[in-house]
Amino acid sequence: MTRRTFLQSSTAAGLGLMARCSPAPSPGVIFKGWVYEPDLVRENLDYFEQQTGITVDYNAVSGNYHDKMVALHVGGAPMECCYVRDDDFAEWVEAGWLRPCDDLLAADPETSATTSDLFSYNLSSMTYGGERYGLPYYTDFNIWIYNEPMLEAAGFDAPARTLDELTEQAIKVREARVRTPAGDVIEYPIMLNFRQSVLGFLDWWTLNYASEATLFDDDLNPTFPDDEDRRAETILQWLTDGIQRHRIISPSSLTAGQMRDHVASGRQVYGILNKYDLEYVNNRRNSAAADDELKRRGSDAQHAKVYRMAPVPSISAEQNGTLGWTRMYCLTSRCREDRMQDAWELMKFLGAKDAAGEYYTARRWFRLRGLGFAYRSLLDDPVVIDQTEQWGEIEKVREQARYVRPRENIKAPWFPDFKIYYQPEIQKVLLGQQSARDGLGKIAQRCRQLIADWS
Amino acid sequence: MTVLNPSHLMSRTRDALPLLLNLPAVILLLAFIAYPIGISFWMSLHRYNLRRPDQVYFHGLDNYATILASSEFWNALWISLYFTFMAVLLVIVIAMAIALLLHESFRGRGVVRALLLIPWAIPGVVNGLMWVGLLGDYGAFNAMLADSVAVVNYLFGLDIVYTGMASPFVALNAAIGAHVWRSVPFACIIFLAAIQAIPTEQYRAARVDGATSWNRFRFITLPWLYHAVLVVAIFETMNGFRAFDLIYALTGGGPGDATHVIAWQTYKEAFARLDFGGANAYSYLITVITMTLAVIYIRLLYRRGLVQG
Repeated sequence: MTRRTFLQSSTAAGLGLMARCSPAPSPGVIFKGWVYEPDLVRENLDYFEQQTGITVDYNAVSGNYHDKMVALHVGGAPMECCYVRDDDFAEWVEAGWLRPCDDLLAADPETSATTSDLFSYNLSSMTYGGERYGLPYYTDFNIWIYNEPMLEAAGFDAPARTLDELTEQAIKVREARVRTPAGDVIEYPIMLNFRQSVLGFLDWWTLNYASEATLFDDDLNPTFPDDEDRRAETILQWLTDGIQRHRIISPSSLTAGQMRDHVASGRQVYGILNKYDLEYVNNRRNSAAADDELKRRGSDAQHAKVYRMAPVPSISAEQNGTLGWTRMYCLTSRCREDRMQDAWELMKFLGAKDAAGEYYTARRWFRLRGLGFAYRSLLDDPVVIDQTEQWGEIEKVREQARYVRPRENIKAPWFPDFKIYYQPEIQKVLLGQQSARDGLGKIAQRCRQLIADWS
Repeated sequence: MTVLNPSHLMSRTRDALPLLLNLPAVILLLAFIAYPIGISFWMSLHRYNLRRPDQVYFHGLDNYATILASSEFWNALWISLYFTFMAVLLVIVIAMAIALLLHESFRGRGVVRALLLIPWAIPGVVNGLMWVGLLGDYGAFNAMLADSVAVVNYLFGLDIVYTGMASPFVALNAAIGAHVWRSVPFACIIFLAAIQAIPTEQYRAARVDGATSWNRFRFITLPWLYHAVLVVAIFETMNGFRAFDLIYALTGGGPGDATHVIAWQTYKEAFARLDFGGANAYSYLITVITMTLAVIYIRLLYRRGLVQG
């Protein structure tokens, strides 16, 4: 080969490669989501394709979903619909990356009718500026859990209802030198999730909502640290005392991720989990605590109700509440016109009812992975009831579902700025570097500054 | 009418040929290095928040002024300076010690030299995750530290509470340790190459003069290594200021703001706040700080005549 022919063929190969790299329009609906059980997602999509004849070009986005999706949206990547977290929802609407679906709902009475079946916190989380943007993927609320055999071993037949009772109970549990399945003495009965992360700190909201604290008014101005009865301050002080003074809350609460694995290992007596994780921690396949209990009973069952749910402890016994969150399917603003109806059919199949009029996808996720759902009627579904009773109690789930609230300021345009500010400040309180009042005061001050900046 | 002289034409072609051959490389450099650098500086002069795409406008040095007026920046700067100072110091000391050891002849030296490179080959995030495993609740290092504290408490009747990575002091210094562990091999290679270039006659002459091993190191080895120290110091200062992936995986910036280094702050501006104007301004400030430190290093070492030009 001469130098000339080498150069010519190299150029031709390069141009050919570039031509291949240029995006060809996908024949199907382009759908992106984070990596959670992509094989099961594909199975759902295969069933959808079989039912409707619509092709779906599905892509699970690995790594940090928010950051990668920001890059894809900014870069104008073609995409009809995608998963959206309530944490990112307002940000993405404000950036113009999502498309409202009110017109599609209006033209589709059957799907529109499912709106009245939604839990109010889910509906609120999918609506921005009075416009509806999404259909629910999965959703859940936080629950308080306790290890029943450990509590019994410490001489208690019921979990504490208030924070003060919890302090007393946890001190006695620690003094009773309750042991883990591995035989280690439990040093700290309580572990919570106060690790800084984009999806972290939900336990702070959960504890505040359990005491029916209102952290923001209707105009999203912070009410703390002088909110009603100074509840936010009381709760933060209780947390700080639990770590620094009483040593009933593990300091690892500030650093540990994957709370359900800590619970499943049987190293804690109390904690806050997503409701659907109750299945995980009571399943012997994942949980040393469940396996240990089932072996002790000589049972072949898959689940043991070692961990049980209870109302989240509050300042006074009559208070009740918890935090709920929503993951949803949304149409993007770059959804191609000629794919719009197909994309909507896909959204309906995944986030509402299938062609047979069933909540097919939501039921399947619950059946296979215990994922929470946004439709109230599913709480009366015999399959849901039967399965929930294997690892939890449906009545308690129904009861707790009545008190769920989304984060009050989650739809503020400044929520991302707030999120990166309040987490370190609260950690500083928990570390004893500043008082609860000072920490909350600084957070409130920053909120007011952000409101001014964004108005 | 101009008549083209063939020899003149050939000469011009010969002069232009190298430029033409370099043109593809120059175009690539302009496209992938110069253009992004220029555009990011231009963006740093704008209000450019992706949450408000309709409100992009030029506002001069406002982003820089806002950053310089913020307590987060100064806090992150001090943490980064501490992180970088400790990292540079430890890397130089440890790498030089290892390089001196590896310069000696012993069986299996080649294998040890090859093994030394392993930490360097590990990506930053993987390094962070590995240290999460070692320092996390179930980690071996964590258990060793907790047991050591328990022994101290028992022996001296103390009540020190070991909180592991929940302690700001432990978290920051653990991050420095993990960073140093990964950075030592590169510095070690540089030192080893420099040590091998030292003429052996100087050592022989020193021995004849009765110099101790410390004096041989102090008056022969160390002066010959100043150039390598300068290179390592500059590289490690840049690495220290840019440390992000390790922090991302190991501490997530916490506890509190103990590990909020300046690169972490930049990431938060860009991807948590979607403020690309501010994030680019942060990046330029990191560049200015790093370059300033590099100039200071060079000035100091040149002024003392420690490094020859």
